Amino acid sequence: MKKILTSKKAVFGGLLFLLIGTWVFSEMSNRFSMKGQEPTDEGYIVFHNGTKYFVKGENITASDLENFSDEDVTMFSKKFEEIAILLDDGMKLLGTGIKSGDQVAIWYEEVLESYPAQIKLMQIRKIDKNK
Amino acid sequence: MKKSVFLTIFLFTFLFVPISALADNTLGDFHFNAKESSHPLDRVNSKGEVTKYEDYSNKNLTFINETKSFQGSGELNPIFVGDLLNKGFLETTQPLVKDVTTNEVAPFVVIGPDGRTRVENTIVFPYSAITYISLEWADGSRGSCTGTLIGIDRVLTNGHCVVNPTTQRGIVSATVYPGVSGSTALFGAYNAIDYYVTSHWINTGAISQDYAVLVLSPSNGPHAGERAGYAGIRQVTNILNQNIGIYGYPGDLIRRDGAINQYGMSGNVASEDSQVAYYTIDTAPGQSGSAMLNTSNQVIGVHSSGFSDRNGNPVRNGGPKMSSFMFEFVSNALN
Repeated sequence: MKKILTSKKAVFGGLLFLLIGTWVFSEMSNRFSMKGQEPTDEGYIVFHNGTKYFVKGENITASDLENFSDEDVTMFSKKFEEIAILLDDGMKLLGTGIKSGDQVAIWYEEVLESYPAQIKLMQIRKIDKNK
Repeated sequence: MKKSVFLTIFLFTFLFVPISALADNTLGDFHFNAKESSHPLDRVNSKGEVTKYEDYSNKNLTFINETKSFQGSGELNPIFVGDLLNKGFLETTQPLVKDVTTNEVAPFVVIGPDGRTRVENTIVFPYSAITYISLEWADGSRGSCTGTLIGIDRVLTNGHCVVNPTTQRGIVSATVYPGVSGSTALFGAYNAIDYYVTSHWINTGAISQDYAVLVLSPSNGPHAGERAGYAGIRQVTNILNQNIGIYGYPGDLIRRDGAINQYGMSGNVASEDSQVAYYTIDTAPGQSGSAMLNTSNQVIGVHSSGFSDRNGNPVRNGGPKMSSFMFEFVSNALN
């Protein structure tokens, strides 16, 4: 009986390991495949009420990003030229050190056309201003 | 003593709580448990409750592949909706005292010249049935989509306009405005009291599942579809090279105009797979949920997405077409 339980645990553990391994591999290969490519777009990321926004504009200041509000999402806000929601499964930002207000480069192929748009994020990278 | 305290609290509640606060969260909280669903076409409502596919599917519909359209009574109930742009919401929806006359009769066709052009006369069908949808999400943010009346109190739009599969959160309220022109909603405002999406949309976020049906309450008497009319839906298989029109409320042109206006364009379906159609018809954020209308003004799909190449250049737009799966789900949601 004990043996059966142990073997079941081993199978379950193996499957879990395989699943996580596959996910890590696909995530890493995705990051590597994007590495040589030009980003689809560049702008700023803002975290607001649990939503990640991507904003663009000519003269965006740190204050604009710090004081981001729900009003900035409306069609008639002049603060940003473009605004979109980043759809992220929680893993694309993992280990990137990206925080609200950072300048970022993003990679995507599909945009859901609600207002604001919803970008299906494939990859994101912080832009180092010192470089 | 107790009575007076109770009465004071009662009066305070009803006198000082703003009406708008009571109107919020009309759809309630969305809690979906994936374990409750066993079929991709299981129907999930605004509370996350699941109706099994085998319970709602009607076998009698097997031989029906289209529903009827209705041009509407044309009864006007205009309200000004300009504040939707500035505040994202309206304080009130009082009828607008304005003479709106139909001095121009547009032809009963959708397919027009190439390029996005403004629909000047949204009183006539099918433009009257194209709705601006104002949305509020659970995090307090607001947005908009387009939808099409497909029944007296039913609107077809996108799944991503009501449920975000990434966060598993849904909208808390939605208001629908048919036939908007110059920031005037000619047929009034209608609150959504429920919506339906497939469980597969919530589980996968796949473009083939990106559709939703809103259920509306009446406004000052009649239902939205009774006033503005509604389009029939038609099941399709192959629509390659078929001419379609896509009409809606694009954010870029609304920002430019300073007013909510309807725009549209027509063109051919450029490519397709079994469940999704692709085209080069111009669209923009805000147009999600726009119907793909055929030359008979029947809904044969819903626009949802824009696609870019690896350099960020837009290459094509697309959305789910009215496959047998989608037709079955949507037609059953009409009941």
